[in-house]
Amino acid sequence: MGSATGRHEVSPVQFAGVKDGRRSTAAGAVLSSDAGRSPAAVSLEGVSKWYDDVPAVQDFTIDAEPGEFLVLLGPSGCGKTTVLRLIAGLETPSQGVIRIGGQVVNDVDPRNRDIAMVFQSYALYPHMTVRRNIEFPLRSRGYPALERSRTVEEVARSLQLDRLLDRKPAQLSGGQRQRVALARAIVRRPLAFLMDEPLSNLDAQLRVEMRAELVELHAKLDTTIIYVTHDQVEATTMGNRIAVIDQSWLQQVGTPREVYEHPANAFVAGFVGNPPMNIIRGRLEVEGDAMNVRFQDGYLQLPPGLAAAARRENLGEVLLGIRPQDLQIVERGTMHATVSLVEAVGSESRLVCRFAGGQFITVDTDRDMAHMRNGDVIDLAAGKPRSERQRASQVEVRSLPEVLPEVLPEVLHLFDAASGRRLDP
Amino acid sequence: MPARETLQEQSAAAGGYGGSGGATGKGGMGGRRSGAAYGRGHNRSRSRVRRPMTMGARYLLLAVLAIVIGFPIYITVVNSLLTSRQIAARPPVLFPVHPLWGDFAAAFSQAHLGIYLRNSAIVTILIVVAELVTSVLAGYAFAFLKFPFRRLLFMACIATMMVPMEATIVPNRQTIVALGWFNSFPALIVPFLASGVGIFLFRQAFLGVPRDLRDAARLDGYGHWHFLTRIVIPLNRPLIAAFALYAFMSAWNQYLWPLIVTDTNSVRTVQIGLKQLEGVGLNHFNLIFAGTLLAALPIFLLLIVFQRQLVRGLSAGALKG
Repeated sequence: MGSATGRHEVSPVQFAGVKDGRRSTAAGAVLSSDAGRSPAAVSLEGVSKWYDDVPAVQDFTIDAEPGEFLVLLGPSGCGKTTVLRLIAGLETPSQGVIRIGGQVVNDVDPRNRDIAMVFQSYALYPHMTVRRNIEFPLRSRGYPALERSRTVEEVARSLQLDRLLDRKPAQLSGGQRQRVALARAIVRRPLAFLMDEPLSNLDAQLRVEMRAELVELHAKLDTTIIYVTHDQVEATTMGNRIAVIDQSWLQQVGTPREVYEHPANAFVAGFVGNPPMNIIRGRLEVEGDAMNVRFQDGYLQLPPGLAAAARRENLGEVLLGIRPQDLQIVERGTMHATVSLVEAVGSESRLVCRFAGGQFITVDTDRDMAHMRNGDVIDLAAGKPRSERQRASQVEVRSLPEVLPEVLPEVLHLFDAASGRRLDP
Repeated sequence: MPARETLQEQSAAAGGYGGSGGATGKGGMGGRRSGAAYGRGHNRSRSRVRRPMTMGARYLLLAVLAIVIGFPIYITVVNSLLTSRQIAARPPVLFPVHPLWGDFAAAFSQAHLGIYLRNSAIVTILIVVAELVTSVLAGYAFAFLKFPFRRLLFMACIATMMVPMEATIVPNRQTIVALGWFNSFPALIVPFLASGVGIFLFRQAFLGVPRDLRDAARLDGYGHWHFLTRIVIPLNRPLIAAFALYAFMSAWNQYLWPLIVTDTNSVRTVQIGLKQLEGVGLNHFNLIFAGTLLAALPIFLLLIVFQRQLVRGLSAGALKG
């Protein structure tokens, strides 16, 4: 939507104006007084945080660009919330430098960091009305009453809260509380927003709606948002960039596409994507000119580029990553698996299979596989599905392709089994 | 969003933070009110089914309990309006046909009740205010601040609750005498400026305030003092009121301690004053009853005025354990 709003003159009034198609000149005049400030950027440099001997965040270096929607993604307990709290100033780093808007803020009190945070629990003050909740941050900063009420009403209108201003949080629905929490953050016009899993308390449908609303809001505010989530769908749909975190270490930073297509290591590969990427442990085997990854139930020949890389690194054990939709069921392939579960929905099917070693492997196919039974043995090959027309004809006849699909380099992800590091051709 | 405001949503919301707000909270008064509204709706339909069977029995039980509890109070009121001879009569007089209101005035003129009441008021109000201030502040410190020996100090506070007053009364009296406070207001007040019960109670309640609220307040620009006064105290107002009442009652009804650290009327409190009325003579029973009523009056009034707060505060405290 309206990223037409200039980066240098962002104010809630303007964004309210965009929404309502009109602009309150009085409030606009008051608010535009410091609208010319430079844009936000949060930067972490070698930041670590230990609780006694337990590391929560280790050697974290990342920049959030001005106006960027940066998502910190990771499983629970990985340290992503700690990163956010470090930026907010609710925790002090054990090491490293944190900058906000170019200023080192390691010793700056949270209230003076010019950031606003939206909490997972919303953290609304239960005894105050919506109006008081939203204006609370303005009160502490000594805004005059008139300006406070004007600003609150502008922000409330833009978030469709204007009719709820005199209610208490307990009288609001989850989605409305979420908006109040957002309004309380927006009203201060901070340099950056920090959001800690703000959608996780909403039901599924509302979450999807709020996701879209947050993206719109970001476009209008054009302010840096650092957003913590464990939900990789949220991360890939909302973020300009994703920082994947695991076990207190930053694993990879990149656009959703980069992270999905070129996961930096086996963890990222398994974490981003739904259903998760299949990761198969195997041994490298040289066979003439070719190089194969052999596992208990067959082998897979590596394309020349990857083979060269594997040879260069002189690896023994590797992890082979293949996304479920990049596995094809074929008449005669080099991998064999036993079907455990068939989820057939119309013309698409998901098969959960097992290798003899016990490892599960998921196969997504856009053919109807309802005839498959638990215990059937299938042959698999790695590759992109064939063209639409060919597939359409195969839906009718239950025949499987005789010809192995070509193993395209982009469907295979090869990782060093010891370090989890990605090997690139 | 008005279309979203279905009952289902509201109950879902109550499961989320609002629920915790209510639990901490008693502060989510709005929520409570709406919750009560739901509840009423439920009860109405349910009790319609039950009413014929159980309501009669319930009222009977309540009536019996009311008589058991109310009768002594009634008799005190009646006796305060009778002559001493009527009080001694058997069978007892259960209704004052010619009430004598003069006993109340006599309690003031003959038995110095005015001075005793004044002394009790001074002592009680100072104790209640001081106990509230120290308990809220200490409770906050134990709940929200980190400082050396925090656990140890808290244990010490709790330990004071475990030692009965009778065990320390003799050394305490000697301390008071050594300080030169015998027969003075400080002797009656200073030992009660802080309360282990209060500190414990408020610490537990404040621990129930979500940490996110503290963090949000910090980001909103508020330090500990404003967080305490603008968020923690308003959220715990019912509990604070309940504790204030409890403190008032225990201070007002003190007997043993004021008795042993005072021996002149000028600083004696009303409970001791009443005891002394007995010394005036057997034929002054009516005075004793009148004085008792007057002494109990402030507590009656407080209970009536703060009934709702008290019940809410006590039940909230009970839920928290």
